[in-house]
Parts: sequence; structure tokens; C-alpha cells
Amino acid sequence: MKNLQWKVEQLPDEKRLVVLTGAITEDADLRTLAAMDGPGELAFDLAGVDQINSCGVREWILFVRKLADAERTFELVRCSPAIVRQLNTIANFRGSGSVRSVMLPYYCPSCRNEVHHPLELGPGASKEIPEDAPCPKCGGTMEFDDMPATYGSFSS
Amino acid sequence: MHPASPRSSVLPVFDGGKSIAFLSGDAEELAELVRGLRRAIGEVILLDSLEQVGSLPPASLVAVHYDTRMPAERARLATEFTADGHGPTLLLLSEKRAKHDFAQLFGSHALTNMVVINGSGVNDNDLLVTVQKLRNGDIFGMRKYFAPTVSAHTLRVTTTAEKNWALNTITEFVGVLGIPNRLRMLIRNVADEYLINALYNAPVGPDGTRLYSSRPRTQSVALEPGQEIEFQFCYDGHRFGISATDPFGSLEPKQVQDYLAKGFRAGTDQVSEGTGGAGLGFFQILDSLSHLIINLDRGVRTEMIGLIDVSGGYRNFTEAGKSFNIFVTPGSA
Repeated sequence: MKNLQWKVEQLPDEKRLVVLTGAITEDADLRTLAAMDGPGELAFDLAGVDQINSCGVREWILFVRKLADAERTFELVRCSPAIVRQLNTIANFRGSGSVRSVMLPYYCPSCRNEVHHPLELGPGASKEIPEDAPCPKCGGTMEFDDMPATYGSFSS
Repeated sequence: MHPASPRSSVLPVFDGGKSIAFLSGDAEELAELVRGLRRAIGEVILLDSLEQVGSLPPASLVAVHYDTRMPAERARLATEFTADGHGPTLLLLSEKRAKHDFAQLFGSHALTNMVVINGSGVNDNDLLVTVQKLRNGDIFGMRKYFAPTVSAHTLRVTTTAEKNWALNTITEFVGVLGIPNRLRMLIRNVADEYLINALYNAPVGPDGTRLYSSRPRTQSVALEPGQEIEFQFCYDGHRFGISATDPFGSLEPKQVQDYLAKGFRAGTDQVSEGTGGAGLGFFQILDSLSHLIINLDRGVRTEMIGLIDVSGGYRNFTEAGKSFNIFVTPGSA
């Protein structure tokens, strides 16, 4: 299991994209990330965060609160299923940020392949979760591997 | 009232043992289950309503098919069954309904035992194990939930560094079993929470003072000789089992219920912001398991067992209900 890592990419519109990967646990030192200065909006790409434990939840809550205290505008993009799970069960997990997109998990019962597809949640997006998708590995039909009715309940 | 149900009009005389009473909206649906229990453990009676619970001996076990009860009666369960050990014990059978009421059920401290029931009925073995443990007091051991042919791997953990080694070991083990990635992450998450709990929350000094509970989880802990944690895991091709046993027996059922209630209420107090744990461990654990079992012998040992159905994908796991048990060794201080 990989400890949390991140890299920062400058986007053309003065926005900065922070790509996080690994596990958010008690060892994730998000203070340095919260202290990152500079102008512009932040976007956190969370597609590569595959685990978050109870101490990690607290680190994250404190992190988004610090961003709010510093009046930083931020959004969460490509939230992994592990992050969506926390969004759905932990109060104020996103803090003052907005969730722009999530990753939808698909599972192939034939070959047990797993893939994630992005779903946009912004204004004008359909937000509809396709129940199935073609399997790129065996050509079979992959099924949405969560509860369609509740997967995006954090946004309602 | 269900006039078609085969019910006793007069409660039988008990022999002082732990008899089983069944309160179900549909006795036909559970007829096979009741017959099986009668064969296995003897007397099982059927009740018409909660009113009859007051007539039962304190040692009785009352199984309630939660999903078939009316909302008012579901609400009454929280007050009808006390958690002080002086009245009948409640055993909930539920498919999904109870999941929606977890905050209330745990908050009232009434819920100590629940076994999931679904379209194909109850897992007979899990129900029998639950009933046997409640009746006999022989509560410890993950092997009760698996066939005798399934072997468990055992690791001994005494330090934070060994915790990380144990997590890497279980991660490698599940990595070759063909279990879907999201379920593998749940297994690792449960193992992590179990070991954090056993290392940081469980240890107490001779006077009962918690030794490391307020220590930041980034700081190491090293247990004394003889205080090692026994960490086990096993797999039968359908379910994955994890257990962690500490030699302290300091966990109180009410603590667990309060943490779970707080987690499910999702209020402003959901996450603790002190220096120790986040107060979310049990909530995250139950959310990650098909069946959470806590065995407690006060002052002697606590065993936490987790079972995860890995026979399908994550959706299969999350659609199913959850089973939950807290067993306390009879007479433990």
C-alpha cells in the first residue's frame, strides 16, 4: 500500500491541479499541502486515492477546513470510489469545496476485470449512471459495481 | 396478530436455561428456520407481540424479524430491551431495514445481536453459532464461522512496525486470491482499524487507565512481553475472515454502540479531533464488513472478528445487509 503522494500541475486558467495517489491515513501529512500558497483556484484529482482509514478521514476533514479558513476556493475532481464512500457517509467531508466529477466503478463478472469511468457532475451534466459498460478485456458486459441509487447521494 | 401462525397461546415453563422466543410477522416464512433451531437447541416458542416479552424469563433470547414489524413496534424495541443484562436478549433478523435505523438502534444500546436475513433466508450456520454462543458462553474463536477444513494464518503483533508488516502480509495474501480490488481494500481497511484499536485503544494499566489511547497514531507503540496481539485471517472461497485478539479485555459494549450511533447519526460530533483516534474506527469497520463480531471477556481479552462476503463484486457486498454481534463472557467482571 502506497503512502499518500501528490504532484502539482499548473493549468492554463491560473488553476492548479493537485493529483493525489495512494492511501490517506494517519501518515498523510496534508498540512504542507494546505499551506501551499499562490493565487488561483485549486482542483484535487482524487482518482488515485484507493484507501482512507479513520485517522485519514480526520486528516482530510482538518485539511479542507484549513482551506476554508484560508478562503481558498477548491474543487474535487475524479473522486475515486473510496472517496465517494466517504462523501456519502462522513458529514462535511468535502468542506467548502465542490465535487465536479466522480469515478464510476465497473466490474466484469466474466473475467473479473475492474475499470473506472469518469462522470461529470457540474451544471448541465446528465449525472446519470450507466448500468453497464463494455469490458475492454474480454468484450463482455461490465456491471456498475455499486448502488446506483445511492452512489451519488452526497450531491443531492 | 397473525391467526394463521402456529403460536403458543400459553408460554411454556422454562427450565431456567436460555430459551428462544421468535417474534415474526410471517411464521411460515421462518418455519424451516424455527424447525432447525428446535432440532439444534430445543425449545423455540413463537410470540404474537412484544407485550409477551415481559413474561419471558430474563435469560431468554428473543429473535425479532425486524423488517416485518410495524414502525411503532420497531421503535419500541429500543425501550423494551435494556442493555444492562437483566432482561431478555434481543436478536434482530433483518435484511436491510435495520441498516436505516442503526443510529437509533445502537444509540439505545438495545442492539447487541443482529443476523442478516435475505431472500434465501438466514445463514443457518451464522444463526446457529450466534444462538449457541449466547446459550453456552463459549464465545471466542473465528473458526466457529468456517468449516473445519479452512486453515487460519496467525501473526503476532506487538509494535506499530509489526502492524505495518501484518498489513503488508494480508495485502499480499488477498492479492493472489482473485478478490475484486475494492473488496481487497475493505479487508485491508478492517485489518488496519483492528490493529490500531488493539495497539492504541485496548492497552490498560493495572488501574484500568488507558495507556496509549490519546497518543497520536503517527507515534509508535511497543507492547510489553505477554501483551501481544494475535492477528488471524482465513478464506474459504466465499468469505474472508479477519480477527485481532488483545489480552486486555478493556472494550465495553456501550462504547462500541455509542461510537456506531455517532457514526451513523453523521452529526457535527461524528469525527473526534483530539490527538488520539478519530472515533470513527468502529463505524468504518462495520461499514466495511458483512459481519462484525466482538467477543469480550472483561479484563482478560477482546477478540474482534470480521467476515466479508467476497463471492461477488462490491455491489453484491454492499447490497446485502449486515450482521453484528457483541458477546460477553457470562459473569466476567
